[in-house]
Amino acid sequence: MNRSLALLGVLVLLVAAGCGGGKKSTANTTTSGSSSGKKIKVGLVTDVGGLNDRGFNHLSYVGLLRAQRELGVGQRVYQAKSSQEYLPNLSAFARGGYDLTIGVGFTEADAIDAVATNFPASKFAVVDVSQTEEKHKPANLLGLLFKEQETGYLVGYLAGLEEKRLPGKDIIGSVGGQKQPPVDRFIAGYQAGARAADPGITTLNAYSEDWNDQAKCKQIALNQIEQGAGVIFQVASGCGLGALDAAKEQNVWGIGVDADQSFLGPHILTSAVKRVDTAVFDAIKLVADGKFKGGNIVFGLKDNGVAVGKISPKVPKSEVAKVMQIRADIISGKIKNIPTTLK
Amino acid sequence: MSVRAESVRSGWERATGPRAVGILGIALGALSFWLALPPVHARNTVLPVAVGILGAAAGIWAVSRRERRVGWGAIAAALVGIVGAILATRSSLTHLDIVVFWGALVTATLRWATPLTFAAIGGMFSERSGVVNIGLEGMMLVGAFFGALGADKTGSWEGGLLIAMAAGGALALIHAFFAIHLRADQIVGGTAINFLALGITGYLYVDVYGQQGTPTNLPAIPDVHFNWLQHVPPHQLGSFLDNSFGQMNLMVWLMFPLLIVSYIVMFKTPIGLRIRAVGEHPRAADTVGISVYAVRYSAVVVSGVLAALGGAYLSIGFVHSFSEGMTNGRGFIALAALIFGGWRPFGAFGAALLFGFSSALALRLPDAYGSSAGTLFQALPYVLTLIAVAGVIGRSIPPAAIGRPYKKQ
Repeated sequence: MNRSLALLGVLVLLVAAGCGGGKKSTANTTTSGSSSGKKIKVGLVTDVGGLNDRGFNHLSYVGLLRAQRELGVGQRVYQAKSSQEYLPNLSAFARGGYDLTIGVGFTEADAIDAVATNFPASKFAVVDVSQTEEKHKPANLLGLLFKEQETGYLVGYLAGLEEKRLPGKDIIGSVGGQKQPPVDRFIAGYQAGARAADPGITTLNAYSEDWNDQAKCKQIALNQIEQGAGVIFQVASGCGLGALDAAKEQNVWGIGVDADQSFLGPHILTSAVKRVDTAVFDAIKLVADGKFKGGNIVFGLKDNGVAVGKISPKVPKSEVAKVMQIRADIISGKIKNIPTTLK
Repeated sequence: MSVRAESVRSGWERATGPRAVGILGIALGALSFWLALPPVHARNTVLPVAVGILGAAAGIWAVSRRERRVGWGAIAAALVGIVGAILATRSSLTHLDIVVFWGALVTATLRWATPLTFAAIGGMFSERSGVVNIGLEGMMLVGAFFGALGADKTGSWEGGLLIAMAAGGALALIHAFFAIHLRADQIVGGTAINFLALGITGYLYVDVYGQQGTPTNLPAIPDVHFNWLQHVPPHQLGSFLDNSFGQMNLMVWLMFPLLIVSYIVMFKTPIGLRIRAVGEHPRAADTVGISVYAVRYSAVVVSGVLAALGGAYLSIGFVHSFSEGMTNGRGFIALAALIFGGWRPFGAFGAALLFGFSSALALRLPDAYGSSAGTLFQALPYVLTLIAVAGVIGRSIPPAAIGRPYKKQ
């Protein structure tokens, strides 16, 4: 009896150690001083991609850290390991009296709608979700949206130019994480941009249905390269890093997403940058300034909310100049009606 | 009547027996599908359907001769073959050529099967000795992380593999201690191992690599190139061989000797006999002087080492970086492969191949038939596995003493 009790105790400890280890990596509490009287507390709930996706979630954390530095807010992060954790994680912040709770990613749309409705006195912001398209349209929810199609168009245009210049069939590929509006905006812009640069180009696209498993995205990218794709654009968070690894291995161009992923190596043509960090920072600043109200904010090329990342030095100067011209045309409104959906 | 004549006749009877005919039926079912695919491309449904019906007939004959399992398997295979063939003849040739590119399918299948096979063989050692190892997933994950960490710190992939093996073995040792010495429930212990691995790797990953992730110049397990394969005549065969086997990772090739060695060890040597004896009837093994604890401990540690190798293949062999939870359930799939492979190396390998093939296929289908159905295609591996388990394989019999702690008297 004693023995089995001891065993049970050790097992519980072991499980606790396991979970504790996980928690430790998922939660960061900071208690830096604040300049204003009452310190603002901000909670961030990542999607399943996790903070180490070198993209989307990572950038939201960068924005949060900047707010901590510049605005002196307190912050805490919960990393969701599965989509079932969004609801409890978001509620935990609201219940804990956080001034602003930020959800990251389209997959949190339903969860944040429910939590914002249940806690009408708390403030919420969510990346990639339109407040007006939520079921309850909670008035305490701010949607942070991007014109991904604009940066997608630019990187697609560059991909098209490169395919035209390089020998072989003109084919480009893209790997999306899931069929979601923000992902499709990137890819729709990418395909339209490539066709604008090279009307005869063939575009391939597939979804991994996964945001983490790099092996899946790599296999999909390998399939596309084997079909002749010379450029691979990843829009799949952590999973997509595998797609870029496939590009490296097969000596074709890879295009990064969200963050500037040129640090991954010389195989990166450029990146479709989405300044989630700016958006998160702006949302926190609104709360700090007392100007927060529900609705949507849309970030585009014009206000640097999306941008084209560092372009590989191997690309001819003339092509870079053309891309910059297209960028100016989009900002001035000369190029408009870039598609936002895929058929 | 000599003994020899007798054995010749029984051999002949076996070849024409209901079981053999049933297996022939399964083969015919597969053939009927294959006929409609590249490179044969039968555009007419008559031939595949005729072959399929022949297969079904063979199955019915086998069922009527009381060989039910194989017979029904043949009928199912024939039906799947006919339906598949009809669908294939209906879809356009370009679509078929995109999806069914045999060389790429073969290489992708092996690539997906490799981590599963390593882990499943590991699981075989543990479970044959009577210790359930549901912690394979965790051991793979630890292997993936420490493989990357080791390769990074030692600057060589060999160092990465060694450290991964050590880490997997150490984690397995914890499982062994709980399961054998403390006689804990092995399912609960294994689950704890999985959580522990998730926690350890997640914590250390953030601690060591922070927001940067693993370095981009991580030493990688090399690919093995066989350029001569493309010169094998005839040209079509050569390019198929080249696309399939011309560029595969070293770990994929290592899987084959591992299979053979583990088969020989398990079924042809005294060591294997001891492991199986301990797993079937530990008391009997104990009475003849086999140390049940020692055998079980070493078998569980070996399982951790092998599972860790499978995980290390994922991180430093295939995707060249580590990410949290990157094994993504492969340890559990390996366990399933082990079970419906009947706790045998080649059975487990076959199951892993089936799973690998359907995963590879699932990732290719959307290229031709629309990416919006991708979610549906992703279910393919699991559906095929279910059919295989329920229909063809039937019930597999586990080692008698599995999951039961042994107490010395």
